[in-house]
Amino acid sequence: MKFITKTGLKALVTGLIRDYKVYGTVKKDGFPAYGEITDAKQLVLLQTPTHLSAKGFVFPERETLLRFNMEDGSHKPVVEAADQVIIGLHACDIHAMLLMDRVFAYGAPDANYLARRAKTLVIGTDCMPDEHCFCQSIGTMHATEGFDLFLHQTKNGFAIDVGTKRGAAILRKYTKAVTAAASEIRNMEAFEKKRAGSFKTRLDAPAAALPAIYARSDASPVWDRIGSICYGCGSCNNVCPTCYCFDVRDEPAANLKQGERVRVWDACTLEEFALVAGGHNFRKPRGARLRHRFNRKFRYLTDVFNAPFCVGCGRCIRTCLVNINIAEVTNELIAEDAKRGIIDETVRTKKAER
Amino acid sequence: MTKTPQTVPATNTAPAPQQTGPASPYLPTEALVTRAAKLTEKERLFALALLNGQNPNHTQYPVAVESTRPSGIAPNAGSTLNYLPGQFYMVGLPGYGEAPFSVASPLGASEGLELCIRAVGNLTNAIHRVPKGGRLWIRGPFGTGFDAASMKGRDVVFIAGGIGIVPMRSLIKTIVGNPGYGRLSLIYGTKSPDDLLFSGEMTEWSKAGLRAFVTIDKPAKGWSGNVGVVTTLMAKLDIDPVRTTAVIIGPPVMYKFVIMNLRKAGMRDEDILVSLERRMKCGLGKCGHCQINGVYACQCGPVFKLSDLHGLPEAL
Amino acid sequence: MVLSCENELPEILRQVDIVNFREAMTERHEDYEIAFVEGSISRKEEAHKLRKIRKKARVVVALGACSSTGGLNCLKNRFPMRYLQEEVYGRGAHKKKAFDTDTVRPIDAFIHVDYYIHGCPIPKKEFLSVLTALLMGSVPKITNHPVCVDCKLAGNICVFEKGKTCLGPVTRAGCDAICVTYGGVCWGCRGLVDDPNIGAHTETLKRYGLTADSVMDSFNLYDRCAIKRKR
Repeated sequence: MKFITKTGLKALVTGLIRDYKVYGTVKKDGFPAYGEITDAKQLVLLQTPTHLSAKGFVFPERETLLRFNMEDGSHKPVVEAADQVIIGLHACDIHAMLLMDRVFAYGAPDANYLARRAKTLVIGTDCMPDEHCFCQSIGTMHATEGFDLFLHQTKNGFAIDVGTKRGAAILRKYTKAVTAAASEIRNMEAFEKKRAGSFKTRLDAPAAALPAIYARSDASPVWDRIGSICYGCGSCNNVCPTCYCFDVRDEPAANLKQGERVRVWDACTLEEFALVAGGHNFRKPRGARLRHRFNRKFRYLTDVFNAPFCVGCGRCIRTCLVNINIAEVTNELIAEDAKRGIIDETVRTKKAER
Repeated sequence: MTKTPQTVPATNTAPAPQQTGPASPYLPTEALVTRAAKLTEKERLFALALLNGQNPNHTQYPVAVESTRPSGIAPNAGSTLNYLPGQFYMVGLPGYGEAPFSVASPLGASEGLELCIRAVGNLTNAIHRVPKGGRLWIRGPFGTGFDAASMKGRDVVFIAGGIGIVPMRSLIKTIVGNPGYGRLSLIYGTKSPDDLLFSGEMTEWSKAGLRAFVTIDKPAKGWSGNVGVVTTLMAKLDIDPVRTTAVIIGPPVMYKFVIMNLRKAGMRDEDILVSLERRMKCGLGKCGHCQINGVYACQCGPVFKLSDLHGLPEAL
Repeated sequence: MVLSCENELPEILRQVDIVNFREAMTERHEDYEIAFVEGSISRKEEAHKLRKIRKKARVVVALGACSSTGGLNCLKNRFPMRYLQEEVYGRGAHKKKAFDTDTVRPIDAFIHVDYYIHGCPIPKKEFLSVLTALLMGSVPKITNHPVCVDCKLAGNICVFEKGKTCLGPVTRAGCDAICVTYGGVCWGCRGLVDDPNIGAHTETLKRYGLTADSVMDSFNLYDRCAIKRKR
């Protein structure tokens, strides 16, 4: 492992700012967020997740797909990307970005996402869970790929995992990195041990057991109950690092000549998401929409990608104003499933361990 | 108002200069409207051909009034777009957006790709204003189609409700008149006689051996045919469940009752095919709007075997 | 707000003739296809004028909160008419015809309205997109999801996290959450979404410290007429 001091990090960031657009974790009105870093002083390494995820850097809230002219019918695809660095992704967010990478490369490759991702350098940082983090239960607590550099805060600086050649190159170019001393590594390991014992939110079944449990839970009374308090506000979708549904629409200019076809983040929890031309809504009750979202995270996508799509970051829990909690709901479903007598062998074992 | 023809950047060719990855899958192809015929008050049938990619004289895209400029471009004679019955194209106009439309023409149609468009919203009303010689933007084909060859040696029952007759027409015209199929029957129901589509063609299909039963929802002046929903006619079918494939396409409410009747007649779910409408926005299995539980209807559908829907309670 | 579309007005004027716009021009005539109507109705004469406009125009668009949902003016409806008149115009005002006034109502209480541009004030871009749609022969698409969407897409920290309260979760988006973005909260000026979860939001507001009366006050600011009608 490599090592840099705090001064070394400052030099790294200052150097990156010269050559790239740099985004990183900051305090916005005192709250954890991502912001543009124009001076190394602005970077604040955070222990807990940001309010919004980092997906907006590679999958923007609003993105132009085509520019067209309505008079002569000409049109041009728009694939824009600029070199950028994001500093401060925790392991959960790195896992999330890896999942998004797979989603957008799968089937018809998404030119826009892939162009941005190719120009994005990721510098991950370590963290300590707050009351809502549950990456440990999902298995996303550590990232071994998906980053160019990963910084572990130690007593005297940062022990660094170098993930890619690009990462090694920026380390060489902008700062002085040495081999990490054994004491720094021990420091890091102690931190990780403390971290592993600090999780307050846990799932009562391993992630691998969840697809089957969810598959049996369509008729659970949980859905109507949380549906009745849900606003259908889409906040959970928008803060989630792996929600990627979008709307596509044309925006003509007032002169009726130029126009753009854009895509904008959409959310399956919104009322009109499943509305079709004839006026029929295939998912009108809020409970059904929540059930759909939760199934997307723990079941529907696992068949294709063989991984849960929830990374346990807890953002949806933190943002929900009516306190709908995906971990609590999942545990309720696990308990209901157990009562039905279909208890997964691993669930039984896990309970015995406690 | 005459306009000097502008040199239009060639479409669907080399990617934009600084691109590092694949080409944008959102780039539409221009298609020329070679025919635009009114079928009913709300429905128009369009025939499309692809352009060669040369810089043509442009017909102005209609904004609010119908364009009357002549086209000046010869359509791609005999062009075949590689689609199957049951598949759909994302069809659009700049400024109005895109929407999914089922192919209405059979495999290898000499007329080119046919689409039957019902004017219900902004895009479809704008498409209706595009005359022969005008342009539409298309992307596709997308989705699963019907495998007509696998129905050979079997009886085929087509059950279409309302605008479901449009994709059904593509399959019917692929099968009717071709050797190797068993008994062919069609039940087609619409709201009223004014909504009936393709009645002329239906006569031809009947001559070629298709038993066709048409019904309307409620009694109407001048209509002496069947009245009632499609299920009321299913007894006339005389289904041999072992050798029959049934195809159902219609409004959401229709499926449950038709399926109940088919199952009562002894049919297996593996032999019942359905086409399910959803609001596709990308056609690429990404935007999420067409999801039926865990599957994207634009990828695993819109054509499904009923047996494939057992794990998808949102389907019907 | 319409006059604030400085960049687009020249383009618009190339495509349409504005024939009647009291705040912007002196000339006027009464032959028009599209009418944008601002303001709520509180007197019989206004209703009369409104019906005349409806007869002439092919398309009527309610412009702003007052005409769309009644807006702030509906606060008046909380009080007995006589008390209001005397409070504003003096004792005995309720007897004088000059001070005659009715319950405040949005314009669709009197005429059929084709489209709505919500907000107090309206968002510029919504006015432009509605007008553009009409010129293209299209039906304008109106947002039907809560302001929370706009807030998240703008990257805002939720004001509830800062200990404030807000009507965003039940209010119609389309404004880009401009109030929150610039340091405020959502007051609900664009009216309620089609299917608001008022029950849930009442509980949320109470959880964040509002009394039952304050909750009603929040809802009554812009949404009084709408809530009364939903009942």
